[in-house]
Amino acid sequence: MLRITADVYSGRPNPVADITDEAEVRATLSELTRDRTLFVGPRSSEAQTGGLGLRGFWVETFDDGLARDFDLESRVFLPAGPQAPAGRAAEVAERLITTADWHRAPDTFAGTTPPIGTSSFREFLLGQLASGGRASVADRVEPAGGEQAESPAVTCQIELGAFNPGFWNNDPNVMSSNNCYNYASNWRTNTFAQPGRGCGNMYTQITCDEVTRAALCDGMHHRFDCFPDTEKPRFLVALVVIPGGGDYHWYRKHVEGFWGHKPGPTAARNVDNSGNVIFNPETADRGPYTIFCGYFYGCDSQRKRIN
Amino acid sequence: MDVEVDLYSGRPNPRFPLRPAAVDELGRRIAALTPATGGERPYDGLGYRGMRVLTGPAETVAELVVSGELVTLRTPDGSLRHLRDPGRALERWLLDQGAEDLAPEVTATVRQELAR
Repeated sequence: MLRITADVYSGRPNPVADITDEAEVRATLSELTRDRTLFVGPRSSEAQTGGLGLRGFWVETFDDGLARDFDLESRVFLPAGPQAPAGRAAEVAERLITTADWHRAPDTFAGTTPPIGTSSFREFLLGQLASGGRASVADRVEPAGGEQAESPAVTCQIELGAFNPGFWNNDPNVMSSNNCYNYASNWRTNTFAQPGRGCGNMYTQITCDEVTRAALCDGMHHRFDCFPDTEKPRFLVALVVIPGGGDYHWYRKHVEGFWGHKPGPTAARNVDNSGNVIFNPETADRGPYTIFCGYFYGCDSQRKRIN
Repeated sequence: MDVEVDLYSGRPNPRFPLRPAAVDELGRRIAALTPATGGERPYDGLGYRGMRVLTGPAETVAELVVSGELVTLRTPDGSLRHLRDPGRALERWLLDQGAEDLAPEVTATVRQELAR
């Protein structure tokens, strides 16, 4: 038997499923061990467990014969989503999701959280795998008056993607040809995309108002002007400018809770000019970009329009 | 051969051409630099980062980055060589070469950064 634990939650127990058919167990392990760079052992795997959304799968064997046949530790971790190594990781993860019996998975939920329907649980995990570790969250107007205040007036559903700087940094041509607007839009154009150029009406000067106008022309919305689900992924981004019109800069919020950015042709990162992880772009050390213009939502049609 | 002033994040960086006589002088100036020791890295945050000399495909140096007393040469095969630029003299000289082509506000911003 193989026990599969989907490492997907942070506040409640992770769902567990078994593969009991002996032939299927051996076929799955054969697939898993074809490329040993895909998984990590029990000790080093602890480092893989940060972030929200699907992080990977624990795969456990229960008899030493099976472990010996496939030269496996009793428990290994297969990273999934953005943490996964390139290559067949997604393919192997998909096999685990589709072959394991998840009918008991809803029982692993704790507390009063309504269980996800058995039939949809596999779809949920496949969706998590396809979304690359992205999570949908509610973005609310903070109510005035603290926790006793009434419900927020506006709530928008948005997506937060996992921080994946390697996508932007590993290829020197990608790094030098994509800027902060590409990064905030999460769309590589290799054109050093400019707000408004994609919609045919680029900014004419660098002020908050004018860069905002151009970004809205591309399809962004002001924060709390919600997009429908059809516009997923709807990323939360922030715009800043240099006084006097020198330049603009964008940040994008990530599922890990911090903000990422890419200063021009340099590497994408999640730290500010002082080397501190950015949890608030309004107070981060932004060098000369001292004017904070505001927050916006990107969306799928906007990112595909940028140029 | 062009020089890019690595200054902006959103806008494309300003560039200026290095004239043939200046290219020769650049070679002489680089040859006179001494190797840098330690694990220094060029500054790469928001704001002025340095000068980037963009070479042609036939050159033995694919890219030359001059930033904060550190000169980094990248060869076409990707290997790096680090040299020291005391007092940012090479960076200042490069800025002087672009004085006619760069916008006055760009030159002023970089001069201000170099004066720090």
